[in-house]
Amino acid sequence: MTSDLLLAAVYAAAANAGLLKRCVWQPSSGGPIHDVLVGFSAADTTLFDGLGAAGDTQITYPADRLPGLTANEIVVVDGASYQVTSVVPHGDGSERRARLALL
Amino acid sequence: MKPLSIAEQILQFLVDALRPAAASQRATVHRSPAVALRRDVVPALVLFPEMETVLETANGRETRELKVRLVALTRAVPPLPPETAADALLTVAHRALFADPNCAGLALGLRPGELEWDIEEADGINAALSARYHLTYRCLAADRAVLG
Repeated sequence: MTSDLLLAAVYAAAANAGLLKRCVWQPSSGGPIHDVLVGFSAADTTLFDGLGAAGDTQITYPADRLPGLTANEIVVVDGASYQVTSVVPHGDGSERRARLALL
Repeated sequence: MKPLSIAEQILQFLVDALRPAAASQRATVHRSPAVALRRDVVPALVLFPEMETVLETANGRETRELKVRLVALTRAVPPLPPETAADALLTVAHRALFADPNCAGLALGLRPGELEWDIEEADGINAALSARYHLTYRCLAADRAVLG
């Protein structure tokens, strides 16, 4: 099984288990709307040696599900709007991790 | 009523002086918070007493210097720079402190110290702009609660 097929199988299993969230992205360039399931995490993290706290919100997804997603795009995950602050390859590169800021 | 040192009275005066300035920027005011400030209370001004030293002792009186740190904590979503909001917040706070540098007669003077900028990314970009202030005051060597 290729890594792409394995990744698809893993995401399908996660979706069946209810572990993924719905992510809707309307590209700012005007392209077609993407409505896909993504991994979602919003772990708390501390800032400035514990002075502040913030949710470190991220989504992970197979790279071909949200092609062209870049920083400054707006996505809606589970009904909440976020601005993408960065997108980086994850794992062997067939997956992406995007960091989000709640709007 | 518990006896409060002049230093503690100065700190309470500073917090009260900062509240209207913070409100003008829709910010909250905190003193030495024990838990991390969440985004629902940011922007925020945070006051930390850092150190107090005796500068001079004479005739049963001490001249002391109280050093405090004031942090303007802000958050912004790119491309807005969070430092700009922190700067505005610290600017109004600075004005508020210097509106009465003698702290209603408690202090001999107020002197600004160094500034530090810090940026971290999480749920947007967060800025902490820290300013130090030095306050001198005089009290009895035998009683920190009595002005000297």
